[in-house]
Amino acid sequence: MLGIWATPLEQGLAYGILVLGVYLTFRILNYADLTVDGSFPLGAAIAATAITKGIHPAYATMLGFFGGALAGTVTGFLNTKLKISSLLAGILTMTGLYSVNLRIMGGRSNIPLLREATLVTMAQDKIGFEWGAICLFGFIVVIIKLVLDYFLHTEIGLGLRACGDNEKMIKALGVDTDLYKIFGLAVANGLVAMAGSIVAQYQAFADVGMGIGTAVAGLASVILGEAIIRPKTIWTATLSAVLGSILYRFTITFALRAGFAATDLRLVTAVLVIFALALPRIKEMKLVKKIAEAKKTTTSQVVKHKTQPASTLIGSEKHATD
Amino acid sequence: MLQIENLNKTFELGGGTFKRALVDLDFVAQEGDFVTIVGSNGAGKSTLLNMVAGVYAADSGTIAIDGTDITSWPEHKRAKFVGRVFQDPMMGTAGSMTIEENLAMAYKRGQRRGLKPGVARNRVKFKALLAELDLGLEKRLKDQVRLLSGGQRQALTLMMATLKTPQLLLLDEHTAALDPKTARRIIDLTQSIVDNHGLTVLMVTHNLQQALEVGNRTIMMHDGGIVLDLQGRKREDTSVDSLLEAFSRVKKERFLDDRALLA
Repeated sequence: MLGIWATPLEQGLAYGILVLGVYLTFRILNYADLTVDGSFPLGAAIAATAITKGIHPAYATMLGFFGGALAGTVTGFLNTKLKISSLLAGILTMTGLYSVNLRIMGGRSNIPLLREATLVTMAQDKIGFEWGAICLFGFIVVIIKLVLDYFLHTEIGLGLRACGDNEKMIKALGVDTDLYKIFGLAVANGLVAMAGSIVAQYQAFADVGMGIGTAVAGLASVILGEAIIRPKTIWTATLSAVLGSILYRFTITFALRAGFAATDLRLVTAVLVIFALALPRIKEMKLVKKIAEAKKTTTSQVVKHKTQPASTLIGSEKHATD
Repeated sequence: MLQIENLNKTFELGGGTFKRALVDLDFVAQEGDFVTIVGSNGAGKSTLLNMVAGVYAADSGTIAIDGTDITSWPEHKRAKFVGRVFQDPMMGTAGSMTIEENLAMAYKRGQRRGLKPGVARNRVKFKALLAELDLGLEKRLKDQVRLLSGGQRQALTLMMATLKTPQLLLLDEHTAALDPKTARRIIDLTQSIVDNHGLTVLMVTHNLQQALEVGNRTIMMHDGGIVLDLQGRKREDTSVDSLLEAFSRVKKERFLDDRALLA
């Protein structure tokens, strides 16, 4: 019934957990966190190893979450206490995690789960093959979205949001911003690792290289969702993150069907993120051009005299909208 | 109330040069004192306020509030005692968050924060308080603060700083970035809030007229020390002109000192 759209929908929902984590760091904490590339396979490695050791997949997934939370704590500590820049702190943790992940996987770079019972196979047994994964992932991602919505409106949640918005101010109101940032990074990477655990169960293997490019893919999803929904509240922002994740997977599927090779997708994603980040700047440049052209036409009709340069006009316009 | 003893702070400017921002500074403010602080750029006014707030750690000396030594307390812990308003109206509020969320955060200043909903129970209270400002903000509880004007934001910041009555209120040129009319309104608002709560206040200002009009005590700073402390009759008899005169006299004295040193 869902045909070719089943896979991207399943993926979009599963990765939606990751995108919510990326949203938490990127938009709430205003922190571009690259730990994600390491904590995603970390969750997969933990869950896969635990499941092959006979631990119930639900607990294995939870373990994945806590592993990721630990990784986020390390990045937060590096950034806030050792004053290492946010990007570098993430890269350092990510790099270290590669070795850690291989250790967890017992030195193997790949753990197959084909013969194991996972959350996905359990759901498919209960609900049916076509809808099993969709229902499972949808259920988990909706629960997490709702919990995040609630949390970001609690006393601690407000403080966390203020850490990303105006750190100086919330410090003056008595929040230990270092502690809050570490906590935020822990929760975000916990979610990312949980997504890793679930994706491993979904594709029936964990691979040490499965994290490459996840941070940027997460960003792309957040940005894509925002472009469609234009969220003004937390509730719509988390919704846009999940929808962005689904949309991103649809885009990928579409690109593949349009003839892109699977190996080209990282470039497509990178270009997508660059374009989205550059969009405000492009708009500004267009505006300058437009005003310059408008100036030309009016000055050619009116007597020539000194005109205000376009740049000052932009400046005043910006002030008005600020 | 506020006791500062022998406080020193030196900033390293890089390249082996140092700036002594505060030099052996002693200062005591009584409960209910409203102290205005004047002085030229680099005199140490903002440094003094930032030291009290805990933004910078002291090199030596002690700072105590109500008999509690807070010298080694981090900034966020001092928030329990201290309310602050900054010069930049954007600095005191979180722009992407709503008015009621900003107030809710301020309502928890210096207290434990938990997993209870931040705003819900206090919405009625916030509404009533905002209505007192008479800026129409009580109808805009769910508006993002970034939509407000500089004056509105500064009024909101002032309200947030005093929502939970602070032992000490620090105002760092909090009207300097506003137009004269708005600045006037904010000063009036400051005065009424301070009177209502009987707050102890330190206010840095560049406006000498304002420094003498507002509050009950004026100190002048120069080169990291307090060179003039006016209160009571002495302050009443001081005009802006005589303050300016005192100001240039201090500068000249220091200059002559330096000359003597170099000669």
